[in-house]
Amino acid sequence: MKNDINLFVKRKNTKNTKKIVAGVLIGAAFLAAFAAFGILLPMNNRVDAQAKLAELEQQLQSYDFTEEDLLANTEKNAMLTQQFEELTRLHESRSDILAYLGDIEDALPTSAQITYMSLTGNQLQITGTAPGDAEVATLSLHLRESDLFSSVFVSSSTVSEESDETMFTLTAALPVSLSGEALVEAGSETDGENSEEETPEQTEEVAS
Amino acid sequence: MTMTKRERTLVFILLVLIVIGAYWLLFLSPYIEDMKVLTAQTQENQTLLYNKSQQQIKNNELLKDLSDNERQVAELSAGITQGYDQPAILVYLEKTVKEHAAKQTFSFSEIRQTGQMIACPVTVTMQSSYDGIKEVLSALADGKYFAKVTGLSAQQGAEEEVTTTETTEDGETVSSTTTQPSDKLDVILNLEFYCLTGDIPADAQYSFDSGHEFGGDVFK
Repeated sequence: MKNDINLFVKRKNTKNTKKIVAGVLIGAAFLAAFAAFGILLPMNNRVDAQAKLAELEQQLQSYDFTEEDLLANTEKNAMLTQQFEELTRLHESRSDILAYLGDIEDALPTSAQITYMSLTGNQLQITGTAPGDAEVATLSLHLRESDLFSSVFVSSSTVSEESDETMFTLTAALPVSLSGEALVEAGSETDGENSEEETPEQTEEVAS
Repeated sequence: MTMTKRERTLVFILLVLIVIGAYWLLFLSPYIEDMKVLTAQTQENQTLLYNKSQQQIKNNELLKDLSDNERQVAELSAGITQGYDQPAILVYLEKTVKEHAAKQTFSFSEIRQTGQMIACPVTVTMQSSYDGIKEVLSALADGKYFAKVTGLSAQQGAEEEVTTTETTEDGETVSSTTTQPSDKLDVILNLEFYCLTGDIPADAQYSFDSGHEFGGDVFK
């Protein structure tokens, strides 16, 4: 019995081998999943994020102006706008004196003449001589009808003892003060409304 | 040395923990930090980019406004020089007035600043005919300096004595003096020349600054 030969080959433990193979496969699968989801995916995310950041930085660099430029342009524009407004006001306040003179020429009857004329502030003052009050009234009427003068007011009309001519003084308001600001609307036909002016009855010093 | 099954299990758990810990320490934690920084930088850059795009729009509008304003200012600035160049204005005024009138006085008052401009008041006293006044006003309106008339007064000049000499049939010379109204007007013209604040350009050229000798006794 001692020298009996076991003719049957000893059966291997295949159950354990399968378990080990299964374990190795599961382990490999786990490692693969771990490598894919735990390492590769985050690395890709990081690369994507870095690429996006680089792209944004490139876009930012593509703007060739700085905030200082913007500030400088804003200041320059504000200064120019102010300059433009000032120039516009200046041009608007620049009266055409020749137009005033032209209207006075057109309004003055040829038989009357001016001895003194003053355009100051927003007022025209004329002193002159005329054959009679009809000419003075005509002058007043024509000035009133002009687009440039308003509040035309004859403040005195006196017959000269020496020459028998009528000496008159007349005032009118200009639409814009010669020194600057707009004061009254042009073409107003309301005579003698100036508070400082007196009524014709009070002031007409017609010496007959 | 053989390990019991329990020991093997413990070693296995320990190994797994070590792997997870190493993964956390060496990879995941730095990755999370990096991603936090990257996300913050991306958000910051996106905000910057939005701001830049808004600034770009604003800048473009500004540049357009600047261009428009520069053009309009250039149109309106005709005759408005840089800096108050009184010598040049004095020569210009004398030339303009003398062409059409008899100059009496130029009286320059103190300049005043109005915003970005300087107003330089001058009172011109002159004698002229009525047409001469109109010529002077016209020349000033079209002149190379921006002048605004702020006042004008004109008065008929004093009567003039005119002496006439006649020779009678007897051969005697008879002189007679009569007075007649002057055809000249005494005119006071208030002007304001306007110029921009700032220094006069260094390259300004003056036609009147030539042909003189300088130096010596100044009271000679």
